[in-house]
Amino acid sequence: MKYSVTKKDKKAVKVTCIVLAVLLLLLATLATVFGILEPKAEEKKSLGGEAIQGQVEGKDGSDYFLRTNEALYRYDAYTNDKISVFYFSEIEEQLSNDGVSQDALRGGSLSNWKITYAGVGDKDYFLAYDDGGNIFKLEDDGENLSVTKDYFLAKEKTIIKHVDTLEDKLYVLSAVGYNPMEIRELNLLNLASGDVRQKNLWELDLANEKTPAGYITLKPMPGASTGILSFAVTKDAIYIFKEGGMVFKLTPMLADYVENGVEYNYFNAVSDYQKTAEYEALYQEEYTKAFAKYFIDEEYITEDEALGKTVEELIAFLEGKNVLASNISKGQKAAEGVASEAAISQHFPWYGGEISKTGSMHVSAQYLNENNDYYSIVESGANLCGIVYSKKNDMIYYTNGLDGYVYSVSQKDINEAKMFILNTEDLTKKPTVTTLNDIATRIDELYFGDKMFKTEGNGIALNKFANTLYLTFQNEKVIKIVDLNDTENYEVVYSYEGDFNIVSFIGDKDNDVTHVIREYKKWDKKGNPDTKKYASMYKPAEFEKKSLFSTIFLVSLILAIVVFLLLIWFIVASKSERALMKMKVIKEDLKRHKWIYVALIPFVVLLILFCYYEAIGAIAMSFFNYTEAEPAWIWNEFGNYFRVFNMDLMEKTMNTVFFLFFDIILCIAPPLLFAFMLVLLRNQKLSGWFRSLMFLPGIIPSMATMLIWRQGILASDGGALNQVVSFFGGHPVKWLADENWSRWALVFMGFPFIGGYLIFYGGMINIPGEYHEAGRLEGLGVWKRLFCIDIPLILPQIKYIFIMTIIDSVQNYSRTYVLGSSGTTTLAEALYSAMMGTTKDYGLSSAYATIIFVCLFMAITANFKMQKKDTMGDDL
Amino acid sequence: MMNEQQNNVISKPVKKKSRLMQPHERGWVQAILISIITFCLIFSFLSLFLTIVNSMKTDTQVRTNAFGLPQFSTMIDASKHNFGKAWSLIGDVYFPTIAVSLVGAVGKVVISILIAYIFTFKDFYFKNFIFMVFISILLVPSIIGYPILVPLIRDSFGMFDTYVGYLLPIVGGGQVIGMFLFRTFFSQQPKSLYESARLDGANDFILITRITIPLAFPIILYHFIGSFSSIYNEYLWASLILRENQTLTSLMHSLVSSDTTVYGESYAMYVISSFPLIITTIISMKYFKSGEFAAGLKL
Repeated sequence: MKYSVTKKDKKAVKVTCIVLAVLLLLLATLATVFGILEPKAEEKKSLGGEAIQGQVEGKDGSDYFLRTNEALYRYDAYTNDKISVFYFSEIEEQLSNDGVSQDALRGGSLSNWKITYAGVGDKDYFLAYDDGGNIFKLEDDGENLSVTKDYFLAKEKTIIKHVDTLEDKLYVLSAVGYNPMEIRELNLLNLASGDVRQKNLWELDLANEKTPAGYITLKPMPGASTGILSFAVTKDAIYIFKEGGMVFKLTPMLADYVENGVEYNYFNAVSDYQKTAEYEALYQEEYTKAFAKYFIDEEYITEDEALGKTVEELIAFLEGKNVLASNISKGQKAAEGVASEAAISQHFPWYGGEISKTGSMHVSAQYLNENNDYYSIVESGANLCGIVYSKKNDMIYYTNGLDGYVYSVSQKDINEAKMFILNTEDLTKKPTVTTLNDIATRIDELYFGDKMFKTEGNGIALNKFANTLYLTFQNEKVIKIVDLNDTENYEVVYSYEGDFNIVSFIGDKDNDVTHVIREYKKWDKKGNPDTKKYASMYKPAEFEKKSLFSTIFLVSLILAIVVFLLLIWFIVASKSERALMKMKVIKEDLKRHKWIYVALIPFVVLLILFCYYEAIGAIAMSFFNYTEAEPAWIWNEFGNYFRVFNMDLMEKTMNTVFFLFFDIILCIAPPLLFAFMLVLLRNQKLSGWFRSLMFLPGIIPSMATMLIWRQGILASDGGALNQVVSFFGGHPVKWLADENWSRWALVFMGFPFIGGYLIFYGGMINIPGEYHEAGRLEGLGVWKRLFCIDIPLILPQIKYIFIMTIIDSVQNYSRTYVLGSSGTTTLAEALYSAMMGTTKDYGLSSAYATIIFVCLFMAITANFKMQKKDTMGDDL
Repeated sequence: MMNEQQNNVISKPVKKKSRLMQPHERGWVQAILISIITFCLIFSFLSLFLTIVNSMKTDTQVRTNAFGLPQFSTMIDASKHNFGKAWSLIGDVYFPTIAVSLVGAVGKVVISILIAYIFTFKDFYFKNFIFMVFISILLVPSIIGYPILVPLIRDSFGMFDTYVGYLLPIVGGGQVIGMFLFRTFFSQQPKSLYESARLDGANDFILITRITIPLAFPIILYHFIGSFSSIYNEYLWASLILRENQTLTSLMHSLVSSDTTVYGESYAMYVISSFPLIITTIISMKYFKSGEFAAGLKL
């Protein structure tokens, strides 16, 4: 169709230009106004990017410390003015003045300090302890900290897991050699007593069996882990929280143990009992029962067969049935544990499982109440994500990760409930256990549907100045702020998108404005994770306005850009006759085919919504720090890419290319030959049968097939492939674990590789018979026929499979992942493990995805460019 | 029907006794061919065989000898135990999953047909550009969108843990491959048919339902069955977006990976879960065994 440009058209273009220009002006103004007015989080104070390792509260909340690697910065909690700085190098100086060598520090590093407050009488101290187990006392005159000569040096490298103070005693939970075993009591008033510098306490402990300080050692308990997770010292007792979900309250006080010079506790009672003949008899009886039960459960033996047999008879019987010796010893081990527990529990009826909760418990939260009493809350699994104590309400709030509710519980209830009581005088009495959930009240208003609370204590934070609760969620940027002042009706006052993790809050003078200390991670140029936590003080924006303003700003900005581009196009077009013509053609086409465009809209919307939005988002995400735990768009200066390049990118690429190469060959050659064989079959009825049967294996879920390959065929002992190897006199190979073999094993998977034969077969069968007739007349043999007639004529099908195989192979993440082999990581699998692994590092996985996309895009475009000439004819 | 004719074309010359026998038609060559094919066939059947056989064994038997046949004495009890346990684990989600997969496959195919129809038979200005926009998404690994897709479905749509939310991205994002496939086939359909139908006053709806779909029926069915089993076998997406309402495969995946010792039951679960696929396989056998549909599968 021919169009000519009339004067009317030119005028229309001019009018459009003016309209567009006005629109542009409007939108630009709108964007500017809302961009400027948008409430912004204002960075008030930052330690110049110095890594803040943590925040420590002062004595009564009137001041606080920000701890960096080098120093302790003290701030006024109300004005946020810096009061003083204490440099850790002062401790080093003190040590060198005293002639203490670096070796005496047992590897304690100055960069890993932890600080805790301790008051003795009228005097205030701060205790600094490092990761070697050394404790230093810093005297506080209300403004400056100064290092004292009173310090404690560890005899061997000791991890201090937790410290607690009560009056003039310091209790230290230490993990010597990484085994959390002991709580030690030190004299807080005089750490250096007993000539610590020359002969330290540890040594005194062991050599003289007499110690100036008390200690308690928890004896290993049969069948249970002995790790102490945390402890709390109160005026009446010590509560000990152990792995495996046990809580112990130890009374009387530790001092009693020391005075009497004997350790006496529940564990001693058990071990004493274990030495008696009564225990031995019970144990033998239980052992026989448990041993038989093990093999009955495993279906090696029936109940009738086991009846009345001793252990020796049972073993003989099993050996007669060719049960492996390793299985028998497994049974013995299992029976030992069961028997010991059963025998003890007959004497101590509450022993064992009674006090253990299902699943592993852990100390999920720790808090200080108003008396500065230290509390640990122990709960099982995801029950408790985080906990805070609101002084104003005298209430404890915690998030329950299992049901998604926030709970409240009063201080009084906890004290009355007494979480675990063990009567030390009558050990046969069953202790009482109360879990937090038994006494807490569920707050129905604070339920956010499917959102999951963040764990590791980040899920909940209290702004004690405004008495508001900040709730954060996994996989979410959203932060909900709850007003706690009305305890009858808790209300979410703001809900906003934050780009940081909350470390803590610092109130301003007026108390109604709060600064948030946020933290974020960085990656260095080499791609190594910088584990420091950077923090800066932020004044949060007026959240309720922020989202509306930023939406208007974004929308008007995007519209302005579109209008701007259109305007430029129109201005350029008005200058050239050809462009005007083209525009007219487009206009006419748009008019003529308007229904087609309308019909396309839903499909394009679906495509943008479910494909492009995600894909572009992922590519954008690859430039940011974005993990599940910290779903924030934090620019990290190409850190993800640096990391990718430093994480064996070459090896992963080579693996990808390796699998791609074999995938292409194996997806084309074997099916092609198989299809050709089917074509060559003289008995076409038989060929039909074969083709029908070939559909059957497809009914097994692909997951099952993978499993069978892993456990049935490629398994290292007893796998089918190894049986074949041994048959021919070879040595069995660990196909999936051995790096030399694993990739070949994965290539071999899918043998005999004929899955996609049907497409080739269909192509071949559709080749008109005349070609073959002609070939026959020319005297072509079978092979020549394959290469000269069949393959060239089914080239389109081969190309189709070729392209699809490239796409599938490069993106295949499940192969090595499902099989769990080693040394065969591909780009796609690295993507998958970054995304679904423990860290859920979406930024990193997006970087991998972007690399995969770029490679695929180049490969496919090149491929299309090469064959453009011969396909363009029937394209479109 | 077409298939038989085609076969005749090839096999016809063989019947003429006067002609010289082709080398590959000799008896021993045919025997070798049949044995190779049979070997491949047996090997392909291995996983099917193992699944069925092991679903009828006790756990101990599976562990000690996975390749052996079930013992006759324990077979019935073991099957009863395995299948009973398997059904109690996955029975609740069985029919919902089939329904969801069916709906998803139908949605995917219908959308693909419509969009492929537009791209094949309609001419408009930005056609090539829009087509490239559709196609290039195939190059982005689809799992990478999940961190963004999950919040989108959960918060913006409020469809977390609903089958609708589960299906939407599958249907909406899965249109591209189908479109790509169908467009190739539609463009090979005779234009004259469409022209004459248009002259008789047929509109697009009639053209699609009376000409396009019937002519491309095998490939549509092929894609439908492929879509059905891929939705049916999907577990990663399901495990991310569904909680209470699970799908069969993701449930099975979590059951199997959480407890690796329940062999007999897991094989029984595979057998139960394969029943819908048996139906699709029977359909496949009927329609695709000839390979006729593959004629248009080209690039």
